[in-house]
Amino acid sequence: MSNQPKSEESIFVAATALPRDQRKAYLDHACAGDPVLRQNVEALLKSHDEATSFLEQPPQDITFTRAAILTVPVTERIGDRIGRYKLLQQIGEGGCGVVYMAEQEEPVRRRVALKVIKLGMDTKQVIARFEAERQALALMDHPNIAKVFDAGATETGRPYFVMELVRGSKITEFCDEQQLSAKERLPLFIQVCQAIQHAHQKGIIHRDIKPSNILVTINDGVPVPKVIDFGIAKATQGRLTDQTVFTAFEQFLGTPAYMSPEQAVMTSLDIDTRSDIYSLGVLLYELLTGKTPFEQKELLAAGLDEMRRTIREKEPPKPSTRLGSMIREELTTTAQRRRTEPPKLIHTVRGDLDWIVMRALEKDRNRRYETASGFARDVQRYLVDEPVSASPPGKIYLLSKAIRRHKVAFASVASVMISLLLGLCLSGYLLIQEKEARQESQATAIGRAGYYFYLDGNVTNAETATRDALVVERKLSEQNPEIAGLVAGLLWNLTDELRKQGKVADGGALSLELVSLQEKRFGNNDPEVAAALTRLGEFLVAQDKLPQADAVYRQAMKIEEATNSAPGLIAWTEESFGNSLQLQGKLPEAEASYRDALENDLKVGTNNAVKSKRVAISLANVLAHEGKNQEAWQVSNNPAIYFNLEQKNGGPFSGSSKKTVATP
Amino acid sequence: MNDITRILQAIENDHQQSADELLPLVYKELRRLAANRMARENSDHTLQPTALVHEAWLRLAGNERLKWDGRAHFFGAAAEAMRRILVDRARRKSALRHGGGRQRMDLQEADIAAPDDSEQLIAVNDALEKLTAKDKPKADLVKLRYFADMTLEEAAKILGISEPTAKRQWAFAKAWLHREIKSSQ
Repeated sequence: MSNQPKSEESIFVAATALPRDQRKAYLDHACAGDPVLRQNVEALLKSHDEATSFLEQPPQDITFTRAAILTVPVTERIGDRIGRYKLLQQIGEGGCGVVYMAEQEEPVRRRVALKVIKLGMDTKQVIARFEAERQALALMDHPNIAKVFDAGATETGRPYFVMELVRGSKITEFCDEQQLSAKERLPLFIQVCQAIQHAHQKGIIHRDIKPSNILVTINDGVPVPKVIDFGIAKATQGRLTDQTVFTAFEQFLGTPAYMSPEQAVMTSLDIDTRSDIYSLGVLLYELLTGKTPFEQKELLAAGLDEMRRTIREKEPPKPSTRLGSMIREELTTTAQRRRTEPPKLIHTVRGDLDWIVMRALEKDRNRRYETASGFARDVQRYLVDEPVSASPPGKIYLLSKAIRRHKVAFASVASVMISLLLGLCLSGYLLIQEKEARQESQATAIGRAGYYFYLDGNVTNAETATRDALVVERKLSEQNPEIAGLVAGLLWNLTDELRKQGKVADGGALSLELVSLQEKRFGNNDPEVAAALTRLGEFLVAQDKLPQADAVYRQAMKIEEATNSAPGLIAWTEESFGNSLQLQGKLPEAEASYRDALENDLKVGTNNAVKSKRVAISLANVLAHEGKNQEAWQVSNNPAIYFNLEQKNGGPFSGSSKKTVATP
Repeated sequence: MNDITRILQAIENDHQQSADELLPLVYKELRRLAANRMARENSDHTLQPTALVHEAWLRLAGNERLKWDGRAHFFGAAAEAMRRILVDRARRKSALRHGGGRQRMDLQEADIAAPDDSEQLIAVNDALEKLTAKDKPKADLVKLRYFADMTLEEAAKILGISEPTAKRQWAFAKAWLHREIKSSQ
């Protein structure tokens, strides 16, 4: 050893290289005459021995702990203030939340119902959705609608809604308690329909019509039904996934028995007023028979998929059939609650009432009553013994259906003409097109018009034209496959455009059309169908309907496998599927999908260079989440990706850029 | 070509001052990525620093032609940026816990809560600053290892040192930081 003063680093490094029992002797020598150095090095060595795992794991920061925050049990107490409302008394508790009677002092002193939502939800989103509809809600003014005044967040961050205070009981309970006969129940039901109609005219869909949302109060001895919770279902039903769907059913929607098929499958992309019509049909069913078309318990017991299938596909028994199949005691009780005997009850319900209810419960919403007031009118006709419009599928029914169909065809021809004229004003392209239009079928013309609108970048008109063309196409495509092809092309372009614009509802609906159109053109087992399914999947993912998206992707992959599809298509499906899986935290599955996608993108080569980079990012991300950092690193540095990108960007490799693809 | 690439290329051409411009840009890019992920992913996801850094890199690489030098600079800047982001969060979390935790807090801040080792993170960072002043190359190694989650092998390549050297330096830096933290507690 030299006499040069040694640094703690060099002594430390030397000491750690020695077996432990030799360290002391070494330190005696190396730190001779310098007790401070000795002390420092000993402390370092002690740290070295102790700190084996120290710093070896990266800090797990940016962890989302929203769940933890929400599970802290916080309940409001009587006397507490929420915003400008003082809680007076708890008046109800459901799966969805707790309802209080509260007092508002300003700007007016009044008692209100205040509902605090229980479920762990994104409060900001809930309130944002409520705010979006607030203007419309404020426009509602109807004696059978409880007003919604306000929404906000409690101090603990849960959303709450403030509504007109309604004291009353559920409409079904009220009717049973009062032993109202079947016919006596109908005027109450008609009032409910009118309330819903009013809301629909203001652009509000209730989405959660069920007995517990229709309370009956007595005003001057007259029973008045009031529909509550307008605007709340929409605000709170944002993000349903399979994990939360059961909770959602139980806690939120309360009863799947009242969900329309399009709500229940949740792949449906747009809920409109006709969902409310369906729920009204279930309500009438229950008012008449005491039962819902499908038993709540059975629906929940069957599991989610089976439940969806039931609601979507299974024909419920007619109300009178349902009554007839009840065991004797049950039927007797049901009849007693309607102040009658079993045979009379069945007789009352059979026929017109059966058909009225069944029309509202049609799976295909196009065949339901178009409006709540139309529904109410039919019930009214029954009450005054006029013939009802709902009818069994006999010759007359089929004939009327045919007439309805032709009406639509007629209307669509008119809209074709309007769109054409619109096109003439907006686009010079159509001057030439119009000439041909006289010779060609109108449907083809409108399809072309839509295509030119699309080329013009006028997506709104293109969309309108596509929809019009679709209506005609549905009728004519058997004779005119050219239109079907045109429409399919249009749907591809449009859905792509809508996806870019983030119009997920419209885009989703159109991709659903695309799927069924391609199925019709090519059969169920064709790559074209797989591609359309993948497009649909993208929209489902964008709408957060991940389990539905998964089902769609699996179907697409099945087809791709069976038809030995092109790598580009497989890559696209696998990547989209991977995105969905990754969002659900299913990392190993996502990894597998991304790997397949990457493999296939690389098979395609230069044309998919950008895609392969995108997939590599996703894959590296998943791997990093799985803690497979080394693999993530390898994936991010896969030379093939950069080779393709180079080729695409700059043609042949230049000498200097070769280094880019070198692995570290 | 984006700003980051432009600067990386300037560095390759020996414009030394460009290195200082790099950090704020990488920092911004990582924050943007992190914010995107948070907005997009499920609430129970954990964002891993590595994932962000790799993603940031992939976004740059490929489109543009970068040499190895630029890459080393990028990861160096990314590790530093990640350190700032993480320490910043840990400080805020810690303040939230010790200061008026009951006060109104922005929901988004509450969502992005640092884990329980936020105290440790701050302590490591304080010690690391001392090490930077004393022995910058070793501090850089720690930043790459700890904040950008690089393996020793990767970090060695980025720093242009041999693997055995990196291993020795790492052992020393670890012990040094550990001792430093213990003595200041």
